[in-house]
Amino acid sequence: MTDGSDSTAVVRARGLGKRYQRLHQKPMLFRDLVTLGRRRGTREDFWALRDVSFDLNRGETVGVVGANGSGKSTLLTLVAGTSFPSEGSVSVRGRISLLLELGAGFHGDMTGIENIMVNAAILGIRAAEIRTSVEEIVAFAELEKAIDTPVRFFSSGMLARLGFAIAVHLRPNLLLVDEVLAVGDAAFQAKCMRHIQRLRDSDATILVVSHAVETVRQMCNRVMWIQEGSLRAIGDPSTVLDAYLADQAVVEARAAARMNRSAP
Amino acid sequence: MSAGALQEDGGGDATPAPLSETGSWIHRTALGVSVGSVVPGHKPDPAPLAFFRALRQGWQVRRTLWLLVQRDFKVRYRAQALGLLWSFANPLVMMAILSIVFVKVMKVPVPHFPVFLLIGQLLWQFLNNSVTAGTASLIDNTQIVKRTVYPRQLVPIAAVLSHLLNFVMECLMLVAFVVVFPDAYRLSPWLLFLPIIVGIQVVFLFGVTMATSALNVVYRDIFYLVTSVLLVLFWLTPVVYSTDMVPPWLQTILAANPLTGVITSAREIIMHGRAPNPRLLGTAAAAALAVFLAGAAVFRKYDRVVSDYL
Repeated sequence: MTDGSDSTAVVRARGLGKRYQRLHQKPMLFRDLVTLGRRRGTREDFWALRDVSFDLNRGETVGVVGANGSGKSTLLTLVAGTSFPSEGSVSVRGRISLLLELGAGFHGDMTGIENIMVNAAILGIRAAEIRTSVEEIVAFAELEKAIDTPVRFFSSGMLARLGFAIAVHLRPNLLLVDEVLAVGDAAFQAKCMRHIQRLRDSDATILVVSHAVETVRQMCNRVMWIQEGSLRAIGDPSTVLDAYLADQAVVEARAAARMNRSAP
Repeated sequence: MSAGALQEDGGGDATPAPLSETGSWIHRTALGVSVGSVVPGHKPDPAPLAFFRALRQGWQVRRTLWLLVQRDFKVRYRAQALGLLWSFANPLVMMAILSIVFVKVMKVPVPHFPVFLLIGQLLWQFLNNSVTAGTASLIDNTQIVKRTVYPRQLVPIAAVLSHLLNFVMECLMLVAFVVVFPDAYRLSPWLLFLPIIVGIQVVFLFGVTMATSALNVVYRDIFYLVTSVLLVLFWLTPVVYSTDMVPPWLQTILAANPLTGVITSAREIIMHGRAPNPRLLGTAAAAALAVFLAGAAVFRKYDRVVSDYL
């Protein structure tokens, strides 16, 4: 806590790596006991993410770009703490709010209100604060009529609005967003963007995973480019994004060339 | 409080919570979670400490836990027209049939057999339901487990607690039967000891379900193993008989089952107004504690990979 960088960093990743096992057979206790876990040839490891180090500071909005399957979402789950690193470390502090795909983190049998309460309490928010937040969340999500219905009966648009409303209204220090900025109609999208703007103006840190390069360019102070599980570049949005787009263009040109060659 | 709320509204609802409020760094490595200053400590908390940290956080989020317990409870009965009545019907029917079979057909020489049976039956059902639901709990709550960050021990704990709630309500039946079998009950100060006895079983159940719920995520065959073991365990538990009916060598084996001490002690207290056998109850408490520690260790070992397998 002595040097300046420590007091502004909110996320710190050091040599972060995540290894998944591609399992060709589901693990079975009896089989594992019989073979004592030596199942050669039935599993192979692959690194979804390897040797990634970075700091995220307070008030920053950082975009993560990369091709499909490059490890962006893995990175997000590691920072969020829903999965554990296989090597290295990831450290976070403050209140973290997670905005993932549709309906994630909701329990279908609980009503909208109950889901808000559970999500809030999981973040360690006190009762008094939740009470003031609930009304805001319901109003923001425009769900006054449906909020006492189990979320199982919500449409996808309603789920997306509720998810966004909860994530941004619980006053997170760190907001993690995965590809869900395109929720609802244009009016609601504009509302979401305004809210994210306000959140970043007020010193919250935002980590956005997105394929929408232009949105990232507008929103972010810094951009991370992840390629095949490694951190290819991190820094100024226009520099990183231009490099990323150039690389994408090369990949596309190669693919097109292959197509032409294979065509009769 | 109102002043604070006003200030918050004035400041705009987007203001993040002050960092100091949420405190220190949380570090995650391949070894587990540690909480502290800037530098990651590469030593994760030992398993019992992890459990108590989960319990402390559980207390902080007790409303959530209560919501999860309530939801579990409501969902279980919402689909059924008779609702909670099923909860009473099942042990009652079992009690009636087993009483007829054991008293009229097998001529078991146990006085007040229906009450004797009901005590065992209620405690057994509590175990059976908790273990079944607890084992499946992490998989049943996939959405919440995968997408939110909180001590996952709370998931099996909530499953056990929701069945404890059920159990307590079913115990009203036991009280009601005073009217039918007034001679079967003895009023004594030892009745105050009953919560401790149930507590031993709860500790045991926490241990079992922590282990089985985590293992069940990785090895999906655990659930079938557990249901089979429960089937066998029923006959190795003095539910329909009492320990003094079995040969001594079998008594030693039975004593290792924490439920033996729990059920026998509960019967001693309720039906005879006598102090529970300290050796039997001590063995049960020790076994429950051992199972609990083992379960907490298993859970901590598999906690890190749970979300990868769900």
